[in-house]
Amino acid sequence: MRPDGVAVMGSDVGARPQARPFTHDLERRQRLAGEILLSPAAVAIILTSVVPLLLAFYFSLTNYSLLAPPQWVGLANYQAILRDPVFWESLRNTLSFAVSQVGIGIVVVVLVAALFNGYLFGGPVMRTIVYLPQAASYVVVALVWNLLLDPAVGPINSALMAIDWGPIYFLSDPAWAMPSIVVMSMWRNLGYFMIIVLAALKSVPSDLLEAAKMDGANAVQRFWTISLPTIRGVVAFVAITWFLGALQMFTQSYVMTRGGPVNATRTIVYLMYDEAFTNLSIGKACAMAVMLFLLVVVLSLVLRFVLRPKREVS
Amino acid sequence: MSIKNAKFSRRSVLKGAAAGAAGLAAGIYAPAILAQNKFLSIMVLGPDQKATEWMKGALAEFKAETGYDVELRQSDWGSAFQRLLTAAASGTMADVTMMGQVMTPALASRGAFLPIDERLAAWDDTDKFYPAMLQDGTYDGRSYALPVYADVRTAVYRSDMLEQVGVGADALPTSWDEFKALAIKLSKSEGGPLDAPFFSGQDTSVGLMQTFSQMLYQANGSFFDESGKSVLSSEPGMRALEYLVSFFAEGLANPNLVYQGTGPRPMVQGRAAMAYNSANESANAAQNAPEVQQYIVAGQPLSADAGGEPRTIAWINKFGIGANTADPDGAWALLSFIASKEQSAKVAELWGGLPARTDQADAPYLANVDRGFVEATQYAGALPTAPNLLQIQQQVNIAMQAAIRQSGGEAAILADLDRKIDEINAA
Repeated sequence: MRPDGVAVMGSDVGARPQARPFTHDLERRQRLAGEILLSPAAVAIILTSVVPLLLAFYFSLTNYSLLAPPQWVGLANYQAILRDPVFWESLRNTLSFAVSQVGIGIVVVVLVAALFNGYLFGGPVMRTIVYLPQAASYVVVALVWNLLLDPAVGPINSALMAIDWGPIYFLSDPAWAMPSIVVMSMWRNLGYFMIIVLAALKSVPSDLLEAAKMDGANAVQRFWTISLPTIRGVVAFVAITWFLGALQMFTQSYVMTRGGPVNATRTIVYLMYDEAFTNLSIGKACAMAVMLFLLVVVLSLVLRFVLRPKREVS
Repeated sequence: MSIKNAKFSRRSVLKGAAAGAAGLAAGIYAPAILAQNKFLSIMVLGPDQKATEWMKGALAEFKAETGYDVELRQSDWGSAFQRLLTAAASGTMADVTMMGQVMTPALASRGAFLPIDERLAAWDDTDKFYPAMLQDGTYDGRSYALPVYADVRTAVYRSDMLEQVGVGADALPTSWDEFKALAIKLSKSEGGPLDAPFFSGQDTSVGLMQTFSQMLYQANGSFFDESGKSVLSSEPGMRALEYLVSFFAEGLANPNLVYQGTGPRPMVQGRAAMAYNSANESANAAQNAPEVQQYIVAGQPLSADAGGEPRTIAWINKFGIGANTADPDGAWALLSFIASKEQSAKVAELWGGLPARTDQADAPYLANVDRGFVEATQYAGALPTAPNLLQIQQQVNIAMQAAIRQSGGEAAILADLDRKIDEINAA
């Protein structure tokens, strides 16, 4: 207990047993107040995340069509999914989309952020322009790109045909469909992730950079040996969140190609949607959702391990 | 007075409670109150602005006749099935709902619509509908829907391009061989104007499956045998697929030419001169390139063999009564109003189809539609009314996409398709 009578938690435990009931009571009240304050958020999380997750797991073990009560089928949905070649094709599409988008995108994001950090003119205006696509919904962006890529009236093909290179059937040729969606998605996400990386670059201590400059390091060396290692954690965060988001790709595929041609752009979430609302197989769709959830958990753990900051290794 | 010092008298608390209870009761009993006020709802699919405006006028006319206020709900075709499904599951389906060809058995088999057999038996207009179209609204021996228009397919041509190779509108093909010969004539390799004269109907929906289905029927094939087993890999199915694939293999069609759903279709753009389509091709020209509309001509549906019987398919769209309606009699009044002689012709016109009623065969709007489309109706059959057709048609479309790109042998593709369809039906 302080001289002014205010109890100091844990400071005099055992020394003055007579103060314990009051301290204990204060702790209890503080804990209770904390629990009360946290409870709305906890209830919201339970209702919107935990309960749906548990329900999805339950439905994944049933045959359920929305219009009739669910019937217990055990692991039959999982067995059927694992036997379905379209599932594996969709998984491959999903992973190739996520890996190619994030793999190429992260390099572009870091480079663009580095350029904005010191070398590009009109920084704020340019940053706004690069960020703008993020302000539009995926549906709008996808519709705009549909027009851009149209083989007959799209400006990109008009330009290609002017130099005898076209038309390229960007969205209807299986070889081009997924790369086109990757480019569109990268364009849409570039600004958002670039802003995060740029903020990290701005926080790199200037004295370190100046010291390196005085030691004769050029701009590339300073970026490579000082800036990049310093922002490694942020880059890892961007890569992980971008990758996990990319695993849930649906809108681009739905709006631009409807999963085609010949399943070339059918992703796991698209397949899930088809199972639920075309095939009326909610149980199978939920089983896919559970599998995707597990995939996301495993991949996020792997990515965290692979991209962990070096100091944790030591 | 600060909030801290505010006091609530017992009376004000009671007043508040009474107001709350009244609000709650109003919420609970609102549907019943509205039903007493003769309230109905109708869901229409894929209307454009003109169709929406007309529908509002028609519903005002219905109100004047019956006193029913009708709420108009709308959806595009692309998300229609999902909306109907979730509405049926949550008990919020409209009293009267429009539905496409393959939605009818999918939803009727799951109890989403009320059977209307007794009402049809007592209705004077029932025998005015084309029997095949009326039959298309049945599932498992019971009627669930009234047809309002038909999207009848046939062979469609660009007459101006045909003239370039010396083929007049009076010498259009009637068989597969003639159709192929015309495509060869039109191809650049033979001195014609086009790289790929035949457009397969491939789009972001199931257009390719629709073209294949017509070829299947023209080869006297079907999707299922009498026991319900998929028989696409039988001889007619093989013949139809080989015929379809041959256009791509011989460079007469482009596998990557896909109509994205907006703007002019490939034939209207002048990138193809032959397709299997409906009056929709003409409507697309009217909307996107009016100067081209005069060149869109409908030929006779083809037969696989010279001298054989022409065959084609019609996609029939209908209205049914939602199973959750609180007012079945009112819903029937609205359904029979929309399917009446006057109103259904307008629906057919505005939705770009052909009438479903025999007494509308000479509807005024048909004067602007090539007679070939109307005459094709007599050769039209419907797709089977299978509850899983929505799912099956997607599988067929994907298989056709693979086939035209030569990624596998036709026999293997059809055998695999049969297996998948049987699995879907067995699930």
